[in-house]
Amino acid sequence: MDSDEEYVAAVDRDSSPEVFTDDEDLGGRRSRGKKSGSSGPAAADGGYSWEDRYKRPWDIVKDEDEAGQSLENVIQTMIENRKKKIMKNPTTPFQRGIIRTLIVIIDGSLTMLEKDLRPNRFAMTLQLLQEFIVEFFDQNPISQLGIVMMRNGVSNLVSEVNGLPQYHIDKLRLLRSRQHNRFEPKGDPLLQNSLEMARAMLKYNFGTNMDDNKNSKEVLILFGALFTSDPGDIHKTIDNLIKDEIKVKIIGLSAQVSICQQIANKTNNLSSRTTGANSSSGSNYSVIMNETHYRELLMDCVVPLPVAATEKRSTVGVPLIKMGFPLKVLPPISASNNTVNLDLPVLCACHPTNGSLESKDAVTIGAESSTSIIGYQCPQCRSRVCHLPTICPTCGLMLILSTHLARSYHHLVPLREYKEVPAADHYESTHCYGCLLKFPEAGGPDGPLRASSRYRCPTCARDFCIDCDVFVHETLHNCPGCESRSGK
Amino acid sequence: MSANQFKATVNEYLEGLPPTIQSQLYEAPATCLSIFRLLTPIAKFFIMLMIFNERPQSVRDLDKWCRPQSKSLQYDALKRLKSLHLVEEDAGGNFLRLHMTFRKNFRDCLTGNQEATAFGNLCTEDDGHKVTVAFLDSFALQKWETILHYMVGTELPSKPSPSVLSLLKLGGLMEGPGTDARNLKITNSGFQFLLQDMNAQIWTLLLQYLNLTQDLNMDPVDVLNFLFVLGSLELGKSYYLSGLSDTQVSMLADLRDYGLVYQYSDQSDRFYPTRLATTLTSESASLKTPSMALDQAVDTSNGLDSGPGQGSIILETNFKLYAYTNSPLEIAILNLFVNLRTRFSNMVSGQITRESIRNALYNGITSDQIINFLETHAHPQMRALAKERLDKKVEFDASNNINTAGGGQNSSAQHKLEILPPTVVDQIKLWQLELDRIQAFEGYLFKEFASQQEFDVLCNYASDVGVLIWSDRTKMRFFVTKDGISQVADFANRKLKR
Amino acid sequence: MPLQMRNGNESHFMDAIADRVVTDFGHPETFTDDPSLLTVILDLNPLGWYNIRNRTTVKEVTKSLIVFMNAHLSLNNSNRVAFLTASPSGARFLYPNTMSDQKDTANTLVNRGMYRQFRIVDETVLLELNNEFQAVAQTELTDYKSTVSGALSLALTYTHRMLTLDESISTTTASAISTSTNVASNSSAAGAGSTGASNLISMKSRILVVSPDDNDDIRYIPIMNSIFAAQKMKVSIDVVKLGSKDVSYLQQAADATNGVYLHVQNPEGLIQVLSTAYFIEPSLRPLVVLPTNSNVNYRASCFVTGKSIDLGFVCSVCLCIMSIIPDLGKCPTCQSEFDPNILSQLRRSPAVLPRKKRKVDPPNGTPAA
Repeated sequence: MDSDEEYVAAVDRDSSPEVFTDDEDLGGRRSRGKKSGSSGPAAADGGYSWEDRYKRPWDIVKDEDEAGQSLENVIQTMIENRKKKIMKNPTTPFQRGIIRTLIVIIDGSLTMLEKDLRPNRFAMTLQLLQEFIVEFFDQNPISQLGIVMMRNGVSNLVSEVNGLPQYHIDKLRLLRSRQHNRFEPKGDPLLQNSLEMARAMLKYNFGTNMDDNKNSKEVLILFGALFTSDPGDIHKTIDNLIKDEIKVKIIGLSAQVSICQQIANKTNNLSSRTTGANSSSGSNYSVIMNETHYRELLMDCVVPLPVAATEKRSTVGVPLIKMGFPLKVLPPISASNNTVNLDLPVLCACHPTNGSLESKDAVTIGAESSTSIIGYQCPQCRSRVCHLPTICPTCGLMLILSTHLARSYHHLVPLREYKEVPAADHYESTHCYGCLLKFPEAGGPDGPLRASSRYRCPTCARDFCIDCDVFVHETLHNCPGCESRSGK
Repeated sequence: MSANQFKATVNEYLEGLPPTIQSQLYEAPATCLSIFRLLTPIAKFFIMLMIFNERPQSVRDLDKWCRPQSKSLQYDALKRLKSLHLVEEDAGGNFLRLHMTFRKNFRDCLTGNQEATAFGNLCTEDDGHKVTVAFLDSFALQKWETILHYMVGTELPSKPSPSVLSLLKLGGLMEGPGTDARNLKITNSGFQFLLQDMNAQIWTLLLQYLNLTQDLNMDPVDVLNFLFVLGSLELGKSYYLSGLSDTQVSMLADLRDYGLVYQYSDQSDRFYPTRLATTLTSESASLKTPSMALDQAVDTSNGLDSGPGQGSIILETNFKLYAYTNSPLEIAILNLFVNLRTRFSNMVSGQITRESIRNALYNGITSDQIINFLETHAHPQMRALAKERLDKKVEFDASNNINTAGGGQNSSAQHKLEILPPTVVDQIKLWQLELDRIQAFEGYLFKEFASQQEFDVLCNYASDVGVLIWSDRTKMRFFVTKDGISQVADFANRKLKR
Repeated sequence: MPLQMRNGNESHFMDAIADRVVTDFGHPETFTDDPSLLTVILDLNPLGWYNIRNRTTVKEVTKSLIVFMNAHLSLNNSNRVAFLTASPSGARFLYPNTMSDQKDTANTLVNRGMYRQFRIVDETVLLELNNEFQAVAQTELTDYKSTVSGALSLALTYTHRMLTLDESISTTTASAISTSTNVASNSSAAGAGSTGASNLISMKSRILVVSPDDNDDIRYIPIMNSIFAAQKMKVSIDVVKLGSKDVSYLQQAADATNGVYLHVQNPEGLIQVLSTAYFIEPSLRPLVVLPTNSNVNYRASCFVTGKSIDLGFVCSVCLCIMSIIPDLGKCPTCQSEFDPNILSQLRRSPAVLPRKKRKVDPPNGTPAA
C-alpha cells in the first residue's frame, strides 16, 4: 500500500509541476521531510535526487543570470571557472619525500571487465597508467616504480622496480596486447598477497638491504572489486605495513569498501573515522565518479607526499644520502665519412654480456638493448652506465645529474598563487605582463564587467591573464614579474 | 602541400628563364626577397650560409651540415639553386659561389640599404576617396569569383572582361570559337584549375599573363618585378604610381580586372593592393578562400564573430560528406566529384561514390587534386582531431628518452598528420588506379656491369640520391629517371677513373 | 603511408599505391614550411659589456642582431620576432611594445625605404633600446643579480601565447573564447593536461640568448625551471657567448633543449656567425647537424664549499648537495638534523681485514716426511 502511495504521489508530482513548490499536504504523506526550492543538487521535493525531475544542462545556464548578459561575458565567466578548477596547486611548502619508490597494484579480477568505463575498466586503467608513468617520471626523476597485478587469486609481477619509464611502458603495452591469453582479468582479487609482494619489493629498494627510511615507500592500488579473498589475516599484513612505514593510497572504481578505508587510514596514520573528503592534500582513499575524475585522482599521486608532522622520523633525524654525479664519457674512437661509419664497441655495466649469469635476468628495454654511444662514468668504481638516473650495478651508488634534482625543487618551494583582482571601475594595467594580450577595459559597452580577468602576483604586483596564470603555475613555476626584478 | 604546388609552378617558370633574364631579375631587391621565400627550407639555409661570407663555400662543407637521412633533400635543394643560377660552381665542381647581384641586393634588402622606391612608394597624404580593408576584400572577391563562377557555368549578372576571357582561352582553361562570353566551354585543365587553392590559381593566371606579355613586347623582367613588389606591399595602404615604369602602369589595368589592385578611377595617381596581391608570395594558410571571406564580410553585420574557420567540409569514414557552405561556387565545385543529395539552409551533404569519382576522373581531375582540395577545405574540427591522434601516436611510440626536447627524428618520418580518413583516401586512389593500369617512366637502363660490386655501389648511390626506379640484383640491372642520369653518370665516371 | 586493408585480392593494388607514393618525384618536399617565432634576449649586464669593450660595443652587436632578425622575417611571411632585454632595471619586452604608437614620420633611425615589415621591428627595437639605456643609467647597481631568468620566463609566456597563430586574437577575452571552443570541441579524452589542439597553424619557436656575462652567480632554481618548461614546450634555446669563458648554466640550457651553444671569441664578425650557425629553424633541426660542442659540464657544485663535485651527499629534505658531511650533523640550508646512525655508517672508513699469514713452503718443495 505504501508503495502504491509513493507511486501515485510520484505521478502527481511529475505531471503537475506547478504543484511542486507549494503544497505541504503532499509532503505530509511522505515520511521524509520536504524542502521547497529551485536549483541545487538536492531534489526539489526533498526525496532522493534520482526521484527528481531530469535537469537539463542548458537550463542551469539560463537560470543563473537572465538579465541582459551578453553571450560573451557568460562564456567568459564559465571559462574562467573551469580554468580555476584545473589549477588546484597547494602552495604551502611541506617537507616532502622526494626520493620515492612506488608500487602500483592493478586489480585484475573479473569485475574489471565492466563496461562502465570505455572500453572496459581494465583497458582504461592501463591507458591512464601509461600517461601516469610519463608524468611521474617527469616530476620525480629520481624515483622508482614497479607494477603488480592481482588476478585469479595470485599476484603477478608485471614490471620490476626500476627507474626507466620506457621499460614500464613496454611492459604495459605487452599487457594490453596479449590480453586474451594470459592477462585477461579473471577470478577474485586479493589484497593480502599483493600487499605482501609489494612489501617485499619495497624492502630491497635501492640495491641495499638497509631498512632505513631515506626514501618514501608508497603503494598505489587501483581497486575495482567490492571484496577481497585473502588466505590469511589481512590485519597482520596491515600491521607489517605500518611497521615498515609504507603508505598506501587506494583509488576505488566501483564503491567504497571498508577494508580499503582502514588500510588507507592506518598506514597514513590518520584517525580511523575520517572519511575521504577532498582536501587540498588529497585523500588517501577515493572512489571515482567518471573518467575525468579518475584521471585527476591518478595525477594527484604524481605529486610527492608531504611528510606528516606526527611521524616518529623527525625525532631521529632525516637521512642523508650519498650520491654520485657522473661525467659524460664519449666513445673512444669513432670516425665517419660519407660511406662508412666506424663505431668501436664499448663495454657497459648495465648491459651484461651474453652468457653471463646476469644476462639471464637482464632488464631489456624494447628493441634498444644495445649500448648507446654516450655513457656516464661512475665516480666511485669507474664503470660505465648508459642511462641516468640509475643505480650503479657495480658498487650500488646512486647516480644522477644535477638537473634531475633540479626538477624536484619546485615542489619544495612552490609558487604563490595569483589573486584575482576584484572588479573595479578603473585598472592600471592595460596588457598582460607575460604575453602582452590586451585586458578588457572597465566599463565596456555591456556595462561593468563581472570579472576583471586580471590576476595579480602578491610579490611583484604585476597583472597576468588567465592563460599565463595557468601556464606559470603548471609548467613554468617561476613568476616572470618576480624574476624580472633585479636585486636580491 | 598546396603551397608547395604553387611554389613548384612558379619555380619551374623561373628556372625556365634564360640566365641573362634571371640576372636582370635579381637587380630588384623585392624580387630577391620573393624568390628567396619561394625556396625550400634547406635551400634558404644554404643561401644564408653563403650570404655574409666572402669566400666561396666548399661542397664538402655543405655535406657536413646535413644529416645522412636528409641527403636527398640536400641534393634537391642544390639542384634548384643551380637551375635558378643563384649558385655557381667553379671549374672543379668543389666550390660554390652565390650570384653576385643577388647577394648584393639581398644584403641590401636585409640591412635597409636599398633605394626608397624599391618596395613601393607609400602615400603619406590622405586620399580623397579612402577605402577600407573590408571594401578591398569584397572588391577582390567579387572580381575573382566572377571569373570562377563563369568557368563553372553558373549564371551571373556580370561577366568577366574580354581580356580575362582571352587569357582563359589562351591558357587552355576554356575553349570555344571566338571570344564571345557565351561560347566558351571549360576544359580538363580548367577543371583542375578549379580544384586548386586560390594562391595557385592566381599564379596560374599570372603565368599565362607573363607568356602573353612576351608577345606584346612588354619586358618580362619589369612585369615580374612588379608582381613581386606587389607581393610585398601592405594591405590597406595606397601607393603612388610615380615609381612605376610604363609597362607596369599598363599592367595595372589588367590587374584590376583580376581583382589584384584597386584604383578609384583610371586616372587616379594611386592604387591600393588587395589581399590577393599581398599574399602572392606568402603561405596559403593565412589566406582565405573567396567564399569564406565573403561569408565573413556578410556575417560581421550580424555582430557575431564567425570565427577564424578555414574550411567547412567534414568527411566521414563511410564516405559521407557534409559541407557547411552556402556559396554556389563551392557547391558547384563539390558537385564535380561528390554525389550531392541534400541541401539545407547552411549546409549541403552528399556521398562520394564510385560513379561520382569516375566522372571527375573522366573530366581530367586527378585523385591527388581531389584529396588536396578536401584537405585544404577540411573543417578545423577534423584538423584538431587529426592532430590529437598524431600526438598520441608520437608519444606512444617514442622509444628515446622521453624527457629531451628537440623531438626524435623518428616521429616526423613515421607519422603524418592524417586529416582525412585513410579509408576514403585510399579508396579514391584505388578508383583512379582502376583507370590507369600502366604507369610509364622515361629514363635510362643500366646493364652489363663488370662485377657485382660495381653494380652495388652504383645502385646504392642512385637510391641515395633518389632517382632509382627499379633494380634487379640477380640480373644486375637498374633503371633511373631521366634527370638522374647526369648525376649517376658523373658519379660512375669519378669512381671508375680511380 | 600505412594502409589498413588486408584483403588479399587488392594486395597488388596496395603495392601499386605504395610504389606510386614512393616514386612520386614531383614533390620531394615532405617538410612543410611552418612559420616560426624567434625571441632574442639581450643581456645588458654592465660588467660583462665593460669587459669586452675593446672588442665590440652594444651598438655593433645590436646592429648584427637586427640584420639577423630581418633575415628571420624574410624566410616566411608569417614569421614573427620578439626582442627582450635583461638589464639592471629589469627584464622587459622591447618588441612587441604595447606602449609606443606607430608614427610613420617621426623617427629616422632606419632607412625609410626598407621593407616595411623589417622597418617596423627595427625602429621599435632601436627606439626602445635607447630608452632602456637611459633607464639603466639611472638605476643603482648595488645588488645586481642577473635577470636572465626573468627574460626567459617572459619569453616562454609569450611563446605559449603565440603557439597558435591567430592575428585576430589581441584581447584576453578573444583568447579565452578561442581556447575554450577548442577544448570543448575536442573529445574529453584530451584531458586537463593538454593545452588544446590548435585551430590554425601552430608556430614553432626558438629563443636566442646573447650574453657577455662571465659570472656564475645566478638564480639557479628559476633558470632550471625555465629550462624544463622550454623542454616541455619543445622550444630550443640557442646561446651566443661573448666574453672570456664558458658559463655552465647556459651550456646546460642549450644542451637540454637541443640548441646551439658557441663561445664567440671574435665578436667583430658576429653577423657571419649568426647567419651560419644560428640560422637553423626549428623545422630544420632534425635534418641538420648542430654546430655545438657537447662537452657540457653537468657537474653539480657543492652548496657548502662551492667546488664542483662528483661524489657527494644529498639532504633528503631540501635536496642540497654537499661534498663533506657537515660537522654538526645538520643540513646547512634547512637545518634539519641528520640521523646519527646513517652518519656514522657513512663516516666509517673501509674495514681492513688482517692479513693472513701465508705458509711459506721450504725451498726444496718436499714436505718433511
